[in-house]
Amino acid sequence: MMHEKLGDLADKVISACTADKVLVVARAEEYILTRYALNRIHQHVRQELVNFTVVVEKNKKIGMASTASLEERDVLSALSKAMDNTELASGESTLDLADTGVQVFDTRSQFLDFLFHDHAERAKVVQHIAGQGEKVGAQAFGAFQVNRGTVVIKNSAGTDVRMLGDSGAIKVMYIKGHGSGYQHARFDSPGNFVWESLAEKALQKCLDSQDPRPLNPGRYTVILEPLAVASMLEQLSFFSFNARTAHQGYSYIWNERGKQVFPPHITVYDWGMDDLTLNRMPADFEGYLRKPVHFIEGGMARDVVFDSRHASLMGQPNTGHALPPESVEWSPLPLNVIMLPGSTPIDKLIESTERGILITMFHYVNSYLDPLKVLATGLTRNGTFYIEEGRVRHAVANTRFLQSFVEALQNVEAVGSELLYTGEEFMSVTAPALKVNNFNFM
Amino acid sequence: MKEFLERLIQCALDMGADYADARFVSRRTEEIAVQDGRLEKAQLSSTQGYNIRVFVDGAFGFAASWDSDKWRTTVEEAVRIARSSALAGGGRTLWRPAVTPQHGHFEGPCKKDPFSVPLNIKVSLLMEADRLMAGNSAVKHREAFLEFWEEDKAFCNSEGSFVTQRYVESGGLIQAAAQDGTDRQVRSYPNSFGDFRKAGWEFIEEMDLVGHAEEIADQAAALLKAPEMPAGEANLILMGPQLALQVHESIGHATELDRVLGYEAAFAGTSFATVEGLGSFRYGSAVMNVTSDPTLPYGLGSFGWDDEGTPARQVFLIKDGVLVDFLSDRETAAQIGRDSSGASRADGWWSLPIVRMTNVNLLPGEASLEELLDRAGNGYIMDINRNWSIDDKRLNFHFGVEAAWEVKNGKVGRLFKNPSYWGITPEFWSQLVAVAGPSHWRVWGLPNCGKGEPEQVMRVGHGTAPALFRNVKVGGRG
Repeated sequence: MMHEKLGDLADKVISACTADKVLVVARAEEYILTRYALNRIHQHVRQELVNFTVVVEKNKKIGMASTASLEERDVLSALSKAMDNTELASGESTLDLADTGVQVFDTRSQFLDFLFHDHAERAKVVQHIAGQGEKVGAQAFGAFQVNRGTVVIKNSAGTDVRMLGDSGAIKVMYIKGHGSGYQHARFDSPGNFVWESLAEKALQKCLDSQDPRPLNPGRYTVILEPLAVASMLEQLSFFSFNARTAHQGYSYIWNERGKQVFPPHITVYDWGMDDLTLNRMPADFEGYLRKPVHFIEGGMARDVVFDSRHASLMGQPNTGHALPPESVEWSPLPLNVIMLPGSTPIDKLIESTERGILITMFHYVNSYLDPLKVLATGLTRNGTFYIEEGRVRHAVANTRFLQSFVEALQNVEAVGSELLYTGEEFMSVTAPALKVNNFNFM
Repeated sequence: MKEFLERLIQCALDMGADYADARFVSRRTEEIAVQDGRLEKAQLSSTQGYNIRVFVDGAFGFAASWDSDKWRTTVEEAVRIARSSALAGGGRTLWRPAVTPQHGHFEGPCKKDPFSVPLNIKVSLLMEADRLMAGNSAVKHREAFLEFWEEDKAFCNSEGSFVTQRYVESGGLIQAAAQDGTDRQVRSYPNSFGDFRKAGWEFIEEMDLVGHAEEIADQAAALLKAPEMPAGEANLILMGPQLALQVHESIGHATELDRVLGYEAAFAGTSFATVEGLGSFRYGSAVMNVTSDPTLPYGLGSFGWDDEGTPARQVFLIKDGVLVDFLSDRETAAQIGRDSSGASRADGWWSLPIVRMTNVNLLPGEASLEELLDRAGNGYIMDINRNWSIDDKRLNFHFGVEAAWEVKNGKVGRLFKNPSYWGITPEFWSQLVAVAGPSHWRVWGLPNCGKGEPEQVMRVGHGTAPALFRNVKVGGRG
């Protein structure tokens, strides 16, 4: 078993270490990715990676080294390099060690194991998706990915946390003429492996988005589908839901905590073990158990996520949201973001809209223009539609927006009732649709 | 190493592959970061592993592993994956016929080995820059980092090529953020993502981070008090670092042939550029000349051979404003009946090579900075990126930058905060009036170009000099 091998090596490092404190973060990851374009598989790859990181503190100085080898001599060499760094580092630092004890979490599924190994099965799914498009003259593009990972975190305070997990994601896009449609979802079981309905929805969007018309600049009511809401939540997570930006003074949520600054139907939180999230991880990369953290609860700005470093800097409790040691400059960050659903199906959100825009997803969004307000610019993509008198009337060309996502949340009129499990790469986002007023297009 | 890679390839051929290539990569990195007077990161990392790419029955398969004991399993997986790809049309893949086998060794420039410079020297440099930035009381947050890479890689293929490469890369950044509670203004040096070169410690000395620390701290503080950038149309001089990102986003990605052909449609997007437009599509004004050039001596996108073994060469992408070629690899070049431009790159041993930028450069013109200012008359100078966004066809872009200075009657005037400019790619480049001369031209290193799935982060270069554009839409945050 990989976690036993990683654990044994971690024990050897901890035994050999003469520093005051030592933390080992060892990871083994496997990816399989079936990527398709123009109705055929064009990239099909398997990756196996390991990373073994040693962090030590000696005389209030921290050193860190990592290796991508699981040879005993190489991990001991990493320890030696980390120790050397403590000799040369200037300035004082503190390594806060978790005292989590022995914990083993295994969330792997046989279903994902099957999809990981059966290359032909994934190819058949792609073949079917392409076939559906060919029937109507559309071309299929997308990706089908399964990841499996083992994380072992051990330290000299006795923490021994082992997490074994897996996740899958499927992405479907169709293009025909000037129109395109897209859907993306994560899955971890046959119950949420809904690729057929995703493909159907993406294809319908593609067919509906022919002959798009330009949109006049201005403010509109928008119906944001869950993929667009997920982009918004990712930006808010990076700029506002974490102690890094709070410490630097530009987290809106932290600056306004305790105030009712959003409508009462907005609740957003993070918890690595929630039933409403995928890619579950009960502990962070320092070995601390993840705690549920509400960013917005019933419209009130509440809290942000912390790692040990920021908890110490800001005199706050650690919520267990540290990133891996090599990503310390981005830590902490929520990795399991959930927005609670409302009670209105998306069809009713559209029906209730006199004049507005239905948006499938956003593209290339960044919010450095004004991090305090999370002022973002990006574009709509893969299915944008004009709504009039409660009905979708015609397709709209991809259009640039310039909009504060804080203000967008403040302008939410209604929350959709269905949730989508999505999020790119390492962040799992569970999002409903939103009806938002006064959304600004350039 | 040669024996190991040849063993992988022979195994793949024995299993029925029509073609195979294999790479072994060993990389060492050092990252040191200081934030607000604290050493936040001092990390040494090493990674090594191999991959095999096979072409079987008209389809590719790829597998990578850190575990060299499992080499046979890795090859078997690559072959199985390729065969399964054929089930969904993968067998229709075109592939450029055999090229001349390559042999040799490439070594990048490095005068002073950065790994031999003691850590305390590096930390002291960053701490001193931090101390100087902290001297301005309006500056509330400071960051500084240094980063060093050393990479050895070997490539072997079933056509008889075997090449090895070794290079060192060095780079760094200092950044000051001034804040007054309602506003946050940032200044970076030498660029907001840092600057990197294929070079050693000598590049860190040349950057002189400490010597620029007070200057950027004062500029960040001055931005807090500066007026908001007014909206309108204006003549615009883009300085080198911002122009590098403009080239990256609106030329580099747009001329990647895999995007043009649709391979990246479901993730990064496609391109407004078309194969039909080769040789005739007017990308920009006649003073616009753009190359892909991995032969530049210190560019972050320089190499001896790309990751398919294609030798590095300069390729004109845009000549006198007309689109003339694409960035390509052997697979995509085969689709349009051309030779690979030598732009097949992977971000590590674990990754499949895909079409990437090398050093994509806007070639210098002849103007001096004074001539650019004089020809601008009235307008703005913008410098260093703060925010970036462009659509999936690389047409509709919007860039926020850290600072703008008014140009009035050919003279540099007031500072403005929160500047942005935006446009449509070919319209914007058609408004290019002049590019500064060779003495102002240099290659900027961009270490964080994301593309592909699983996402690969590539290190690329962009040669630019300040350039003047007419009638560009500009504005502030509103």
